[in-house]
Amino acid sequence: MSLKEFMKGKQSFLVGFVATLAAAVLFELLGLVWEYAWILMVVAGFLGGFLIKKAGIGFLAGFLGVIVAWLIYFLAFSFLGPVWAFADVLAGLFGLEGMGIVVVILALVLIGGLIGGLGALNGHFIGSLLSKSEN
Amino acid sequence: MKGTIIKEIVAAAGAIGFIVLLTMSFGIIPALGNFLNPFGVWTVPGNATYQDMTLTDSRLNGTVTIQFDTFGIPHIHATTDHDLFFAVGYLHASNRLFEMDVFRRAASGRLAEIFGEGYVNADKYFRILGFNRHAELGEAYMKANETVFYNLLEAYANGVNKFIDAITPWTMPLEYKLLGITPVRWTPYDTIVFKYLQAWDLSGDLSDLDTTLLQEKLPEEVYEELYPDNELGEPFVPPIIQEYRTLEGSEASPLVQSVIALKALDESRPHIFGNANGIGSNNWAVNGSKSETGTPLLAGDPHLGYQQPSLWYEVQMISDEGYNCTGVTFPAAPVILIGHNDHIAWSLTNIGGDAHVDFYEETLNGTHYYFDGTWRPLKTYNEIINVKGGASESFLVRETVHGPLITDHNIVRNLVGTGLVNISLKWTSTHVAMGDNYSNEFKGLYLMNKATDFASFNDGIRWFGAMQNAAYADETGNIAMTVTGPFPIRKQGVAGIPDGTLKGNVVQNGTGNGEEWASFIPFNLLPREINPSRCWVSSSNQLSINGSYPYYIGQNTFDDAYRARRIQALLESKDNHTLEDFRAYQSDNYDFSASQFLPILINAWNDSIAQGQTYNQPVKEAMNLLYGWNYLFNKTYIAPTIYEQWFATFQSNTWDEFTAFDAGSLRKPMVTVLENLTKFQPNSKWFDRNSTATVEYLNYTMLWSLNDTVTWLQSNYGAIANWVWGNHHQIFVEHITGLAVLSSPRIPIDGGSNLINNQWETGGPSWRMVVDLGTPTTSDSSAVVYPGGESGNPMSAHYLDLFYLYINYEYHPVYRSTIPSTALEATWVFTP
Repeated sequence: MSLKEFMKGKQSFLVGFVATLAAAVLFELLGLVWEYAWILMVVAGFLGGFLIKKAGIGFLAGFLGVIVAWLIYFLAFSFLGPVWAFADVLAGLFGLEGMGIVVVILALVLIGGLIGGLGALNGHFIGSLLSKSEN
Repeated sequence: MKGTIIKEIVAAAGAIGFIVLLTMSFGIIPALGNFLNPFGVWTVPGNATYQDMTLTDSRLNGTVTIQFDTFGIPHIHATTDHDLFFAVGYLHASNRLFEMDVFRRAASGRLAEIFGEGYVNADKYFRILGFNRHAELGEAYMKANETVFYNLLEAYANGVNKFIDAITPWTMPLEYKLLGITPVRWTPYDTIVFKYLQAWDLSGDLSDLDTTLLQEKLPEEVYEELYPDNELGEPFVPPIIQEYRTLEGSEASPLVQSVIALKALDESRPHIFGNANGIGSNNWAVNGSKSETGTPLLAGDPHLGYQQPSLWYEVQMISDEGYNCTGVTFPAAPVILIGHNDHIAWSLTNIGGDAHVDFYEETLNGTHYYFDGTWRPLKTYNEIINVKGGASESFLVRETVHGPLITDHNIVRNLVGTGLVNISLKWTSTHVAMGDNYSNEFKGLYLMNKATDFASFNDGIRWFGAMQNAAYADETGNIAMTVTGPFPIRKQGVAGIPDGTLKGNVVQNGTGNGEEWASFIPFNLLPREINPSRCWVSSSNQLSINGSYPYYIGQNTFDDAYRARRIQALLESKDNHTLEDFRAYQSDNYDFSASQFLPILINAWNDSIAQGQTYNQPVKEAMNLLYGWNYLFNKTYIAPTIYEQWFATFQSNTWDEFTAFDAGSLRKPMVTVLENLTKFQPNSKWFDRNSTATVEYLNYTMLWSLNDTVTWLQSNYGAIANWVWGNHHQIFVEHITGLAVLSSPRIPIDGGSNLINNQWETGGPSWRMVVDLGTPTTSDSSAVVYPGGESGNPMSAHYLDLFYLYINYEYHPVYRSTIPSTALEATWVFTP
């Protein structure tokens, strides 16, 4: 199967989203030993975007894929420690006293989501270029 | 296709730019990518309380058991001292690692490496003083000559590193995540360099510079009147040591007695007293004839600046090699500074004298300085400060035989414009070589922790490099107060004869003709009293001993002694003191100073009313509140706010002539000088208002100051109902990063300066301890508290739990033998 045929046949949001999600969960796990593992979210998003034809949908898949991956970690960590109470403490650092949920959402959306989304856009455009080069 | 390429370039640039942005920190804002990703800051330690844990390390000699009580205080049981120190290292690191890091970095001049450009001058300050250089020498000395103690420091470092080496995202302290750094391993050097930081904090007295400038700016007769050579003495300043004893026998040696007698004959000048705006502390003890239990009681409360996590880490240290001590350690050193064991108890206060630091004006010629008839090469050190997010800075420190030239950089103190140039600084702690009697606090405290009587206590405290008043009590009924530390004996010129009366209190000629250090007052001859006839001892940083003592130990920089006079009154008030009494005394909010000045103000007011003087309504209301005031600085009262402001204004208005002398920024005479003038010289020229052509006296200045006070209070606080003391006097324990969210709340609190409960907003009694020596092995024998908590983790239940006890005047019991099961929170077991 050519890349072109592959791209035509496998372009659903769900595929890109699941690919991003899986890769993001896996890559983020490296955070145990490497403090810059979060940068790999751009690669996770790239994988998702690579599989999607439309740029907007690709961005959304990468964006949401990383958000959900990070959300899984947040929820897991909330069983291991007082994440939400701590979020309130952190909110104070940013002048958002008592609004820990806002800090968590900002972390998910503005950091994880945007990295994933930007990675997905790159994946999409690279995929498109490769697809066009086969024509 | 071209359009797609352009879009891809834009997307790639966007992604790369965004990621780079997230790796950058901006001031206090950390690198957000590292910080806010799931494995960044969200790996929060899960346990609000301590949990059971086991740990193995092949370097241990045996099993170590650590039991945490419900206040988070660890009780360590080890078979050897080595294992004990290892455990303390692990506890310090697991609770206070970042604080320890800040301590060692501050002392070594390496704060800019983690905090950035804003800390370069702080680093230069300590590099100029050279703690880093002296600590290196000290470590080499200990390694070669004090092997036992060096090995214990290594055991402590191994304990710290055991924690660091196994650190995970869940155990990494929050501060490291905020700053985006990782901890560096601990070494014995780090503990040694820390001691210089603490000693400088207590004894880095630069008042000789003030004295030099005061002598230059004030007319000679004015200086002699306001800053005379001798302290005023009682009743204004009861000295700490009133029945001097040497260690050789129960009485002073014949030589010392004869010198004392000669000096007493020579005391023709009026006594006057020193100045002190420094760190304050209290300690006192009574013997069995003044306690309800018939056994000695001891109390101590060192007053220091507050910080979160606390400067103190409380611990009980037990080993099968004779260690069983309870008290507080500094998180950086594995020994108890203030505490008690089964036999003795002790507490320390700082000595406010100016004998610790001398200054010399050096004669320079390029790379050489002139000393003792020859030109000698300056020692130079190229210090390099690495700066986070910036370029490294290097600078040269030059040293003479006396010490570093502080005017080279004007950072230790800016002397530009004062006429003081090429000034070197000589400090006892950096000029007492390791191995001399006073320079090894770690060894000294180790011996004190294990001491069983006064003799073994002295075997330890004689090693102190910081000048302290140590209150002591023991199980056999003895009480004592001893001064400790290296007090220089000077000589006039390098070839001069040692003369204990030389002061070195102004900048000296550095060519060898000035007052040079010859030796130090022998430990056995330091001011000391043992079982005095009054049956109590106390110190509050006031004059250590009266002018008959044959050696100079400082003047004009001691505390005003109002706390001392209040403590004396309380201890004399009864013969059956209890620990409950001692707790109440530590919380005492009675302003002895106000009790001396306010009646005089009230008399002045009554006289003026009788003479037909009228006042506006707010002034009358303020005076009415002062009329009915009981001198207590309670947070719900308004009178303390009025009195505090009035007294500051009264002082300022009295000493307004200092501005005319161009000495407005220099230290003012002691409050006790003002008390003496107020009580006995109401027509003194100092009460005259400098800005008027008429001549004013005491009453006028007091009432004029009252008017000024009310105007100021109305202007700054509004209506009188807003002047409540607690509205303006609030305790605040700030986190060492300065982040409010990690600090304590601001809470109205009783107390104030000059009181036993010497509370200022960011400092005060940093540790409170009361001990009954009758039953030092039981949990009801002592009670303690400090404004903080054992854990440095802001999510821990033990982050500020002791703070909340403290602000309510509560203490926690000290479990000495067994911890009741209801009070046991967790157990850690370390095995080889």
